[in-house]
Amino acid sequence: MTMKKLGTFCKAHKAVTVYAILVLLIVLVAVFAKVIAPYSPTEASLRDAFQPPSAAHKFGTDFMGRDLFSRIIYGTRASLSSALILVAAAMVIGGLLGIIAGFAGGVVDAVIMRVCDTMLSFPDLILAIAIAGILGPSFVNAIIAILAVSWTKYARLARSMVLKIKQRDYIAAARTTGSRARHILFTYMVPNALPTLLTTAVLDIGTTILGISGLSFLGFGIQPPTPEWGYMLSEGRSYMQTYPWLMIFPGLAIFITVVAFNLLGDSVRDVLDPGKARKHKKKKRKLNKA
Amino acid sequence: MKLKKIFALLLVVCMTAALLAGCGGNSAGSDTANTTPADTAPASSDTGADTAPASSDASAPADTAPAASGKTQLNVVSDMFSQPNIHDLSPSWFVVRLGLAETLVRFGEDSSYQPWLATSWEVADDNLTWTFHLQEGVKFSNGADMTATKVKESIEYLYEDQDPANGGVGDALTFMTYTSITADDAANTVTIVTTEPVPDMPGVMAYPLFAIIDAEATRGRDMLLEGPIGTGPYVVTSYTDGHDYQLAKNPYYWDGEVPFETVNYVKVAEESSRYNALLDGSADIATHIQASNLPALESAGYAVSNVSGARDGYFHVNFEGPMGNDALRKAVFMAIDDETVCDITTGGSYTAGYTPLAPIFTQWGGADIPDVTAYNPEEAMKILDEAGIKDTDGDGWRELDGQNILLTYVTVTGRQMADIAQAHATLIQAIGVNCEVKVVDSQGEYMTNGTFDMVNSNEMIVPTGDPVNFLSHWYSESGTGYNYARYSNPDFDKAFEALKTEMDVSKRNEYVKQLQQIMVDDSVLLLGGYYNFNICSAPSVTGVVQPPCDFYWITKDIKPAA
Repeated sequence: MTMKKLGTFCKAHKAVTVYAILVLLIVLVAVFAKVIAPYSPTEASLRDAFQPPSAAHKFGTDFMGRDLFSRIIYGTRASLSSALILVAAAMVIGGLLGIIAGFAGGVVDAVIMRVCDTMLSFPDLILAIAIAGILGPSFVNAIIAILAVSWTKYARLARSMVLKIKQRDYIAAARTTGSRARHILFTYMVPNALPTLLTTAVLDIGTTILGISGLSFLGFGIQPPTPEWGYMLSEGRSYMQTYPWLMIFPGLAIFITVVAFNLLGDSVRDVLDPGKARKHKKKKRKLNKA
Repeated sequence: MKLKKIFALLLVVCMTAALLAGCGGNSAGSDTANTTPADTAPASSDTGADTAPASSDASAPADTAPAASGKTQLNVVSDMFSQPNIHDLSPSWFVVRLGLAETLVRFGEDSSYQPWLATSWEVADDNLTWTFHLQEGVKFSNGADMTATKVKESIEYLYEDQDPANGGVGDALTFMTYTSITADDAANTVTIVTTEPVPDMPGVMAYPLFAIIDAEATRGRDMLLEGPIGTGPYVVTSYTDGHDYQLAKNPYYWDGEVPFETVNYVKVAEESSRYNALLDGSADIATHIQASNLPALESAGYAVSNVSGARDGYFHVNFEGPMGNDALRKAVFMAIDDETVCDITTGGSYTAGYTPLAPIFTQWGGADIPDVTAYNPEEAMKILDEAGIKDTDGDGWRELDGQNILLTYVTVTGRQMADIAQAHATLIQAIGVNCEVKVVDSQGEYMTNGTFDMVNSNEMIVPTGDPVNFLSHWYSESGTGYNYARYSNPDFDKAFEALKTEMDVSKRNEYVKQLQQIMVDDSVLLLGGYYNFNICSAPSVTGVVQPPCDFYWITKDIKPAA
């Protein structure tokens, strides 16, 4: 039965299906990294450094003689897990704060939203670099740094959703029948805000991967020898001319993953928020005509 | 409605204006923000009247014909940048590197002492009184003559600024302290009487901190904005901190024609960008190109001037941590395959070795010292096993006194030191000792706090043509602010104290050799390699040389190619 449901869904939403399979493949690569990767990602053989791509080393080797293919496969874990954790944390923290702000109103709303505005007035990556710089270079600190600047978007979004439904009749009805604030929050507010927050979150995964890679590239993220794409790019950049594969393959990995998540995010939005999608399409058609 | 339209129009105009303002940034060559007119125009001050450039027509700006190739600007890209503060230790290097100021003595290609602003010097029998005979006809960039009195004032000005009593940092005092300086303008000599014997006095005078400036004129300006008034071939016209320097020729230069009208020096931290700037012709000179890129440059007709041995890329070993254990330390040193690390990991940017001072300095006998910790992982593991440093809990890593060992390398990324640290860590793990690398922005606080097992340093070993300053890192009296290894050995201290005051060159060399021997025997300095640093230049210019001392980059000898 469920399989049949899934089948009809897939038929109805071909784009989502294709992109979801793509993303699923990437996730599987992360999960089965141990099976796929021919070598250990940290196993170095100094004498075999800088070997060009060959049968033994599909993507060549880096300056420590480590197999680049294995490192990229394992790097999927760092990039994916960090991006997912980060986006989930930002959604939960930002979403809850936004709902509380919208629902409570008054001083609570003012305080939360002014903090939010303050965070938004900084360029986000620069602020993240500053935070990571103060906390010291580590993967957890990089995630905290990006989290500190990315929750605001969700807070604003959730708040606006809550404000929209706050004055609806059914909320008033719930109040008159004596529902507690917590009950109203979790039965009405959260479910209402969730689809929009989720769409935004899926759309955000790609950018988040870029943000984390960026911090790692600058040396604020993961510490060697753990494989991470941004840091691998950074390691390879001084050999760009002589050993270009050190930059090409990590770059490709980032590119493919980010594109896959962005496409999935776009199509998920089309499914969850058909109104917006229709408008979007109409606009497109109009533009095409013009 | 109309008001709304007007408002909208106003907004658009404002935004457009802002946009244009943003686009109209100054290009590097036309920045005149910090222009220092006193430097570029022939002096009209009181000194200018009687020292007008009548006698030196060749160097007056109006008479200068452009060079044969028509090239009038020298473009330099480098990873280094400092403010032009001649009274601060490392910025002072910069002032001399840019050709803004010169020293009494200079280092030759073989690190020997060569005359520069002084033609000769001698020390009296008391080993304290040094007399420097000055070059005739030297002028500062403001046209003033460099008299003996000016030289005396310059040194006094330095000590005044450096004196801790005046809030100075006191670096100059670690080089030498004096009881008196006397200037004899008629004989054109300066006599310095030091408080205690300073065997490397000419080397001290060759150190950039001691570059000669017009103290009187420099006091009247903001040195951080305008630079000092020196005797070098170029003067600062403007600079943007951390980004670029604009230099112009010094119209009063004393030592022949200055080849370029202007010099554009830009900091480019990224090595690959410097390399590309050379290739695409936007730079004539680039510093510190990675070894792996050099063959391609050379085959494309670029000149590479390379120096090895004057700079050590090494790690201080913390004797207060697990590395204080003799067996562990020896095993770690034996685990390092230095040839592979230098030749392959760094691509030849470093040359492998084990003595603190490179064997090319034959006077310090590095070649005669046997390598007691040559690469031998099997032997290293045997030493650990015999010392009871074994893996007893089966986690794959050895323990020391029942505690798991985790050695931490603290390193910056510059000059590939992080690559070396990672390679070392891999090799150390191969003998069963767990080891991690911590890449940091600056290692200073780790050094002084002792929160490391190995911490990187990349250091000139003979800053004054003599290794005494470098070797004082391991002198127990230096304190943890300089003896980062927290090393203490009475034999070392004794030999070091003798070296400090010995004037006889051959005896000094003997002491240095003795100190090296102790350091190798005790496995004190974990050498990454001797750094091969370079300056590369395009076919558009000639005469670009990387000197071993690293003090002279932009010189009067760099000329447009014919």
